[in-house]
Amino acid sequence: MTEIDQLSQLYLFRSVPRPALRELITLAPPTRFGAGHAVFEEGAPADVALLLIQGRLVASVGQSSHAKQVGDIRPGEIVGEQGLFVPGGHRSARVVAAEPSVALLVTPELMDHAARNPAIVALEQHLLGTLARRIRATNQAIQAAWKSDPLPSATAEGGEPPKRTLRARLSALFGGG
Amino acid sequence: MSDTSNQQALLDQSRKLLAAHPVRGVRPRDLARVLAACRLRRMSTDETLCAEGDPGDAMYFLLDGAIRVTRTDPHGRTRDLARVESPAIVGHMALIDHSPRSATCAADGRTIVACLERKTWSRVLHEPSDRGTALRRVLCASLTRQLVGANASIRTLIDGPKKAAPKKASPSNDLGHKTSMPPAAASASLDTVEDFDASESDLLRVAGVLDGWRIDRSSLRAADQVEHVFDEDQLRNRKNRG
Repeated sequence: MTEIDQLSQLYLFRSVPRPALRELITLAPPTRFGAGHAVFEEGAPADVALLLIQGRLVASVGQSSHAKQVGDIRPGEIVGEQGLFVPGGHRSARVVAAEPSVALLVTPELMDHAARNPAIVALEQHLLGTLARRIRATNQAIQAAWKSDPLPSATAEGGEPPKRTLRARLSALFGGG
Repeated sequence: MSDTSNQQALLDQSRKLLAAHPVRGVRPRDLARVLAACRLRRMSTDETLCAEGDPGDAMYFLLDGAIRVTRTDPHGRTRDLARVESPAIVGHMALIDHSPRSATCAADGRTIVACLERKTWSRVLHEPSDRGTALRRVLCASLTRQLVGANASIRTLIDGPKKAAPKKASPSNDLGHKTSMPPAAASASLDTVEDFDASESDLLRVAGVLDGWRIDRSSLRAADQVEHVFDEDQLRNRKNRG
């Protein structure tokens, strides 16, 4: 299977003509990462996004002994898109290839150079939908935390077990704490 | 107003918007073409721009003046969410995901808003043109800021204000809507992290950041979009692959 075949099978490129995908690959040749390779380091400047074509990446936050896995990235998913639109950002997570992986490195320069390429248009539309869904999911989680108990009492009276604080509820939903 | 002076006015407004909300790869002249597709609305004090629960039929570029944003909390109480000053972009979430309005917006004094109606919005959004690129990127940048700001606020609520202090200053800290809200626990100074718990006001603030009604300057930090939350898109992609 060619790289163009792989790209055309991704949901976000379902309506994109093959010549546009060919141009995309010419401008941004796919990059291969070996298993264990650190793709992004936490705290590093966020200057490029990555569209995973094949393989799997995992994201974690925190130092090595206390690192916590916060997500994984599968083919067709984008990571690191903040660097494409908002200048001056830094990575909030470390991203490592969990298995041999192939990805397109999407830079602001590529976005500008190929701004009218249907693949880039599709990528931007896909990002809009993805970001909106993440926002709604996060909002629903916050609403759930808000509504789940009477609001919080960090210390209980009379030797009763402490009520579950709002902070603990958020921690259960989002990790950390 | 002549066409030339009108074009210049749109260009000036675009420069102001992009100065307040920088977006990579968007030129003022391209955003001006988006504004040219908008309907201008002059509002007086307390006039409603959109009401919570209504379907979203337009997004708004706040060009002059300010709007007050209120929403109903999960217990049914109406709460002040923010006062958004121009220049700002609001009301876009309902267009992007077809959700009902999450808050009510009313003019706070004399206000001028450029309304981009859904039909025009949809047409421009799909255009392989400079103005299409400008609209898509302005929206992507806005959503990114909303998510980054909210995630940072949530981390602060979970970890406590001191532990979650930003590691690095970022130019993004000074960006975003000019808003005013009561001080929240997340930005309070506490002796120990253990003393800290989140409050309803904190959650309201995070929800406001998420919906794009306010940018939380106190905790906004540049961050990547590796999410800590369930993402329907991931499931759909995985399902498609069998």
